[in-house]
Amino acid sequence: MLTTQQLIDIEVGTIATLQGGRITKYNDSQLCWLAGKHNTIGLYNGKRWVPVVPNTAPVVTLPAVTISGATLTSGVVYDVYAQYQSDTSFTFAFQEWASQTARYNDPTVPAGRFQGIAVYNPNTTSGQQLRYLGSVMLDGITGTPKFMDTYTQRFVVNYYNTKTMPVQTYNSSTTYYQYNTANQAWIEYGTGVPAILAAQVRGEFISIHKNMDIAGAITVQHGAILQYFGVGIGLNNLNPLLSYYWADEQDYSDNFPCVTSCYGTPRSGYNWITTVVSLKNDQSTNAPNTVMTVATPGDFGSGYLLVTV
Amino acid sequence: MLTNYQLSEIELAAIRTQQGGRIATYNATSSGTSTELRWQPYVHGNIALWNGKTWTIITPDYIPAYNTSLDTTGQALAADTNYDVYVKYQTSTSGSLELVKWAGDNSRGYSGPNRTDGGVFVYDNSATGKTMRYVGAVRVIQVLSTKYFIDGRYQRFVVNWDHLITSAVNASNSGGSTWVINTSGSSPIEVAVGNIRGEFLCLDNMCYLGGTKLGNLNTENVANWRWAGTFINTVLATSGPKHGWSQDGASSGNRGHEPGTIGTAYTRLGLNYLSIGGGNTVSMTFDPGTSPEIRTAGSLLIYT
Repeated sequence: MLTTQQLIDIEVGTIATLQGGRITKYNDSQLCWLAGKHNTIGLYNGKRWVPVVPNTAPVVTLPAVTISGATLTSGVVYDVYAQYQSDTSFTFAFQEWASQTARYNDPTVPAGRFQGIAVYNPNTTSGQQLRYLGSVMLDGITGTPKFMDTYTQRFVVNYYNTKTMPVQTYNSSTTYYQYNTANQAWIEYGTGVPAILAAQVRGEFISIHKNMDIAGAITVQHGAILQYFGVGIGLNNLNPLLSYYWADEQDYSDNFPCVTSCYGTPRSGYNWITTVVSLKNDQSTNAPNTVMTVATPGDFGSGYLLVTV
Repeated sequence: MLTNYQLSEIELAAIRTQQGGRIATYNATSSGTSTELRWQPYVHGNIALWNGKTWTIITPDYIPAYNTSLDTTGQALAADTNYDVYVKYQTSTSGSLELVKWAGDNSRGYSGPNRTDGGVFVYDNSATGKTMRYVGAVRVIQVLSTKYFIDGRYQRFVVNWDHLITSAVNASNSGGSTWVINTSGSSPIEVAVGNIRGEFLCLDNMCYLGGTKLGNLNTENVANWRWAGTFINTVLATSGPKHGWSQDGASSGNRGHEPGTIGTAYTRLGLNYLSIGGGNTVSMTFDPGTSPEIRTAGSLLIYT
């Protein structure tokens, strides 16, 4: 016969820790929870943990509101919670971050663990009923807010049942890319460069684990005249020593592809990557060029990372 | 009504499989060193332990080491040594981390960890050994006179058995001096100069993905093919475990070229190295770069 403690262990252990699904972008205006490893999620109903098996996939449709009633907005990061409704249904609840890289600044929302499970507020019954599922950011570029999960915008990230997905940055321009500098300073595409910048696409993602690392590669092809430069993947345009590696190339006449590798530690929340270049002037025998022209738009400056979402 | 056997099945399966946390350094420095290792909740806060009679669940905020400087036999932790990490049952609400010394860099030298009849890895199936649940491994380092755990770019020495996450390990030339590869044959060699090795622990034979690049080849009078890439565990041949290769043919003149590679690698149990090397028919020199750049470097994505 099971003891009372064993029954509690089973209730808390096997029911509370159940979470077999993932939050997933269904379309631009809908976010849903889909069964993954299994179709059960443990939710606290105010008295005990209950194994909830949704009859239909829970969906939220934009426009939607946060816990405090604010409308979900582009460019804002939100935590996503599952809120118990019945043994066969739950709804989504959203809590906006204080900024794109910092969670709540509301001291009444401690966001902690209740019986080991990450919840909205472990100190209130209503907060215990909101189980953390992951985070999203709505499209921060233009127009109507929408959920995004593409190669260049990984804006749906799960806390449970994560998987590895690629994120990409590339030059989408139809014209050559020209880079002007006489120094060794790092410059990100799209910052202070007077050509084809509007079409530059950024690879972006959000991370909820500060200790998650990234590693990736970048390919580059350059053209005709004597050049000497470095390329890399920039992470949040921060310290180059952490975010960039060099792939130097000096060549007289050939188009020459080169590959480099890089690593970086994302910050919590919104991150972005770009390809970066810099001319160099530390070669005594070669004066730096002031203009670098890149051949074959679209082939130049592709960068790829693997992220966990 | 459930039978006793069915109840027993529930008790075993439902409780013993609970392990929601990870081991990690606590209060680590920017370089990743720490004098404290902790088990902390990750996907959830439960961990099931054998209390001597049955499997039970504890849900602590964290689990500290029983003694931060001693292994299970009471010996002081040794530098450059691997240890398996177990969570041992203490009370109905607490456990402790216990470190068991490996015999070598790539060999445990003892029979554990062992699976219980329920499939969970524990130290062994003795009365005490079953109370110790396996959660991962660490390698201790020493800086001056202090022992440290470390989880940093160049030394990934905290690795979990459950809930693995991706981490980057790096090898680079931080010495600021040129690297010279001297070999009279065509076989490549590891460059053994400067702070180039990245090291990491591995508990399984995994395939990893990563890339490398090498600084400007400034030995300019060589008109030969040369090879360079990132090595795993100094395996130098062109077959077997290695990270990746590229080759470059240069003509005469004062010109440099940097080969870059991307590839995969298989690892071994325990300590692994990530390093950089190359090969040529004559010596060749790699330019280390000028601050803030690091030209010769490699990175690898691993699971810890």
